[in-house]
Amino acid sequence: MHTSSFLIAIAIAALTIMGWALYNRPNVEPAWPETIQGFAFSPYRSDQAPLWQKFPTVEQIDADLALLSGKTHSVRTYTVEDNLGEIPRLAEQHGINVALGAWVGPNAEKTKLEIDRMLHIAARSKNVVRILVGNEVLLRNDIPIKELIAYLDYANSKIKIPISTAEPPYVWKDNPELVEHVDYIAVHLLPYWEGIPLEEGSQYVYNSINELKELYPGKPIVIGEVGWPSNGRTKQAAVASEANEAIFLRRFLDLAAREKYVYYIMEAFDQTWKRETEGAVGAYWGVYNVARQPKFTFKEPIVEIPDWPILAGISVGIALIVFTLLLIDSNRLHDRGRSFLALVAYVAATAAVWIIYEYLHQYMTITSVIVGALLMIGMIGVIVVLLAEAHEWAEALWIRDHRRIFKPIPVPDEELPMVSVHVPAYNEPPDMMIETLDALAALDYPRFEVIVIDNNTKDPAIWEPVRDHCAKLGERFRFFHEDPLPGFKAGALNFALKQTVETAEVVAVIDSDYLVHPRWLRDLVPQFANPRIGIVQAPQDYRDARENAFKAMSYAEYRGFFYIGMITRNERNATIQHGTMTMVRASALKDVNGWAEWCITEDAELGLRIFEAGLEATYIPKSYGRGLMPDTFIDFKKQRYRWAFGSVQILRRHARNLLTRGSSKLTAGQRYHFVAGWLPWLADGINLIFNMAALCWSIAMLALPDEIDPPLLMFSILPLALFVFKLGKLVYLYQTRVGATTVQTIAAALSGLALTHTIGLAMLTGFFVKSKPFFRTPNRRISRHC
Amino acid sequence: MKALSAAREETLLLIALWLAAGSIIHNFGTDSLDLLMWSVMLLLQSVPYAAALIVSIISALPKLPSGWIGETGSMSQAARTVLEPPAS
Repeated sequence: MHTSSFLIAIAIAALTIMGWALYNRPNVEPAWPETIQGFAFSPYRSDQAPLWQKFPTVEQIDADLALLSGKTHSVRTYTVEDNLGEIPRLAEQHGINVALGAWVGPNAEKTKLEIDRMLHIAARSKNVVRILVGNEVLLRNDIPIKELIAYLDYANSKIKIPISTAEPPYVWKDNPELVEHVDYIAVHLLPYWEGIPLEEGSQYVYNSINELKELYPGKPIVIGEVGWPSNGRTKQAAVASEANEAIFLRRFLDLAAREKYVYYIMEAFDQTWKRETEGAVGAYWGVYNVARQPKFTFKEPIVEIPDWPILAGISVGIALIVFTLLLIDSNRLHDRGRSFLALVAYVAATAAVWIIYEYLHQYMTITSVIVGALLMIGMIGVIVVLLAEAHEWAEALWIRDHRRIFKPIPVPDEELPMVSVHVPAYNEPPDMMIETLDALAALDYPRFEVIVIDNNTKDPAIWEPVRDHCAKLGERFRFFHEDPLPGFKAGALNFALKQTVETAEVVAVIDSDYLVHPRWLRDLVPQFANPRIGIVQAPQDYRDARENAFKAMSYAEYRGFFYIGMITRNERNATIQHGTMTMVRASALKDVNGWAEWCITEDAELGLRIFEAGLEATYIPKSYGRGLMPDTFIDFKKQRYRWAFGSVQILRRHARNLLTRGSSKLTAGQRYHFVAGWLPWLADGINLIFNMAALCWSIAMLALPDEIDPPLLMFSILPLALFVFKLGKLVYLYQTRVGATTVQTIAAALSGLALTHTIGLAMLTGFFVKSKPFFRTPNRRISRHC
Repeated sequence: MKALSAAREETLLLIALWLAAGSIIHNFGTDSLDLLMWSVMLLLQSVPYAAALIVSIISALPKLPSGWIGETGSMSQAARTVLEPPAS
């Protein structure tokens, strides 16, 4: 590694660790008292729930109470169903008092049985200090207030222990008649559900109690539940986290001691079954987790993520590995480029570590394990695409000098090789073809031939004028009409190869709409004097950008690849060969058996095969000929569909050579560009699947809001990050590298984005379908002739 | 209409994403940050589909002048000196 890279790595590592440390500054909070007044107590374990009538055993309840013994004066229960009716007896053995609860629900018969059972247990226990008939019954709107009052009065007539029902503050405020029928007010103070920020939590408790005191002077107030969840969705300003739970409770306990509140902390143990009724957050209200371990520190200062030094270490480790990988073959990269890559590596690694930590910090269900695995795959995918894009970004902007830049080679006229120019045509308008041929005839080059091969055009009115014009242009021009000729464009080019004169050393190919510059051959053919050169490529360029707004937009979109991607790729001899404005060494073309008729992007495929054979390509980022763009959006889409589909065909056919080198002579750099270059398209395919899944999730959530949880924040952040990064890259590179104006950048972004769906569809189809018939990109006015 | 049919799938997905985001905000409000971000994400994911619709509409208006965009590319000057655009 370079000294500067080393320094950059260390500097950004220090920043990363500082970031973790800053986020995890210790918070000094009041200590938890040795013994608190009370815990809300539900003793269900991870596989138990009242919902499916699975109750804890007496031994389990006893163990829980033993754990709380000495730490609390009392516990509050919610029901006397099944073994939970044993709680007063077991608690007594541990010196714990009980606020005994009876569950009141819409089923009147069941409720009566429950109340009678509760009264029976209370009567024979010495440690039941209060009674709660019903829990948030009016909040849930389970029964009318009159019925609840009837239950309260009934219980009151049977027993002398103080009786109430538990409700949130607003129910007590709105129902003075309820207050008349209770011995004390049992109020639930859960600021999280009100969306109150942590900082105002204690104030909310204080204010709520004061309001009730003023409204109902002389009435005793008991806080039936007070707490904060340690995980789950963010509710307005209320953030659920372990640190926040700890801070809220420790501050509350301090306040309670000063104000002499009677309270029950919500709650002793995490109750995982509650996620079924309240959403994921319901499982995270315990002071102890479901394994009965304390979730936070009771005395020491509170740290957001207590394990942060380990996580920071892992982040730095991963980032260093990624950074080292990104720096392979980076000698020409400026320090600015290295710093940029280091920053991206560190941010990505930190985000990944944080997301995984947060995700693993939940109680897992089968669904959440599956969803988590998908999230993991998606995240790795997003990060890989992001890194590849960042790498291209850095190499496009911050490179010291280009090592494979095009250098003209002077070759005397008499040594210039024979060139065979091939022009494939199918159903092309004759006047356009004639223009093309005239431009070829004007080529300033001593020895060349032109082979026009018209494959499968049915209408003689279209191809005959071209044949006649070829005859007019002289012996250099040969015209072939073949029908039927299989293999689409590749078939036509292979046919032309067979007709090529023996002496031709170079085969040049243009599309039938390309008007070439007279110096095209003279400037570029000498490159073949270098025996290692197999391909000489000039940009695909267009001359109709001024025709209308749509074409101007398309033109802006096309530019990016030829001014950014191709130049970067050329540095590692990994340009994409195009089917027009291209030249191939004739011997190489024959050695690799010509154009592939199975591939709908036979041009890019040929380029890759020539690289596999160990030859090189050179690219000149200067226009030597211009053609016509697709006329409509449909045709624009069809063309991109073909390119994307072809790329999958190539990736599949050449997978072994690209991933492992196989039997080819590909370099690591070439393999990198051929895989990484098509990753963004692959990401478009996966993005399409993601959108479908996101729509399904949204619909499910809207249809069954109580059963389907909203997606976690991290699911939204990944696609957001990728989108913003890609757009940022496009805007920045277009302005600096392509020299586009703001309007042009927007135009390019729009038409580029407009193709996302088409590319995604093509990529997905490509993985399931083997071949697709070639469809040519129709440009200009064929309709005039048909 | 022609524009819509050229980007039919994209338009449908655009509407679906907007409906989903709109219904989520309408049904659940903006209480939860997770849901808010999810809706924002749905809207952002719809941007490429909106772009497809816009480009499709522009493509359906072949008379729309290219002037306000112009010819993109730092090398367009070079290209022009090499090759005069055809008079059309």
